[in-house]
Amino acid sequence: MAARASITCYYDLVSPYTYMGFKLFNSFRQQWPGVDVTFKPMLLGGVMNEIKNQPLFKFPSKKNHMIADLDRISAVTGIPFRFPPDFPVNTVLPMRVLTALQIHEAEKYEQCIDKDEFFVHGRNISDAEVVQAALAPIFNEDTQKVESFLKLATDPEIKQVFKTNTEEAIAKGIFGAPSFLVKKAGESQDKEVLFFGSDRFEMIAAYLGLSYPGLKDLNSKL
Amino acid sequence: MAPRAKIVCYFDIVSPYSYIGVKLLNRYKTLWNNVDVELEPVFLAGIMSGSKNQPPATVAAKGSYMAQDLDLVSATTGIPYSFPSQFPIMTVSVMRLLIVIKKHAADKYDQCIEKDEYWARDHDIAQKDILLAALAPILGTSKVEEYFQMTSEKDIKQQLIDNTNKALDVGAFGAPTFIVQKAGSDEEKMFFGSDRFELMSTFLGVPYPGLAFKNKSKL
Repeated sequence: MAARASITCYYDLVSPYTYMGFKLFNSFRQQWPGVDVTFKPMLLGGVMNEIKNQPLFKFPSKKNHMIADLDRISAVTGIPFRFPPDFPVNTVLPMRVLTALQIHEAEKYEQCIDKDEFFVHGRNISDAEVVQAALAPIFNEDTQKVESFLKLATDPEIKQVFKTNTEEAIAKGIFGAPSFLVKKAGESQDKEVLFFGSDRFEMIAAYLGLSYPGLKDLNSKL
Repeated sequence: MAPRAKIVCYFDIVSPYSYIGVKLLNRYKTLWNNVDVELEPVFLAGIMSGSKNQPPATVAAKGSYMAQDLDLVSATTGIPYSFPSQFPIMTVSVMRLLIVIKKHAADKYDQCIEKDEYWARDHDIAQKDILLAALAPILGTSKVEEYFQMTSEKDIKQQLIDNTNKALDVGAFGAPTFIVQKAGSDEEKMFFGSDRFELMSTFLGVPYPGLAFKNKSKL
């Protein structure tokens, strides 16, 4: 069997376009059943530092446009969005927890990414209690289990995986989030092509020869 | 007369995404009958310094991504493109000349903007001879020379500064930047980048035909 097409998404929950991109991608990929999808946690701040990029929000005009733009995407697509009062927050803890979940709870991992804590409810996800409360419903309120995932965030092995993901992202030319490494079916992994941002799904679809459903009717499909 | 929607596109030909954005807008506007479209030259370096922004290519990873992204955009849209050997170039006289043409040869303005000299043919339009040779077939040799003389006039220089300041006032930090108004509304909304046409269409309630759409004009 020829190797399938794949999309690997590098993400960090601190980024509002990652939140939006994740939701959009989850909607579109339902129509792309032939594509393998992986979500890799990374530390966006680590990438930014290493390549000497600067976050959008450091520039007042970019930040203003970003919020207006996200509000418009939200209005068009029906994806709930509210810019949080405390921004940015340190996401090392939740991202390491997600790294642990990807390894130990693969089946529930994507559900754990798909939370509205930060970009709808404005909760500070650098706080362990907030992270625990967010995960509890996914694990049937099994507090002990959820606590064990939080403990894994300080596990040297998990820390190393998270660090390796981030280094890998830099090596692959990533400079922001969300970033998508896209490979056509039948091509080898080293032929991956980078697409940056939550606004590149039409380009990704064209690249893979898939249909692009568009933003407009997303509302009814969510 | 029924009120009309409006899109003002601020562009500088030094910016590859301005080149792509203007081409796409000119395609899409053929479908958007109720939308007035204006293309306004700006001086991108002025927007960058005014908003304290830095061009993407100053971060190496962004620079290489941009080159690859533009190749894919070109392949998807059919817009001819190849990254020029000289980049960036000083486009201030080009943008001033476009202001002159907009003022004195409005019916030929779109045609002049649509030229592919820099972004497809690698012609360094910062050089006067190359610039004039590109526009002579559209405007005529003597007219193009006459218009170029006018780029040193105070009014024309001021117009480019005014356009640039207007863009900064509405919050621009790069190019292409679009100021969009719904029909019958005074409220100006800013959209940034050549990848915002789908959002602009839904905002204005006009159809979005997708990246692969090509109209039947001479593009």
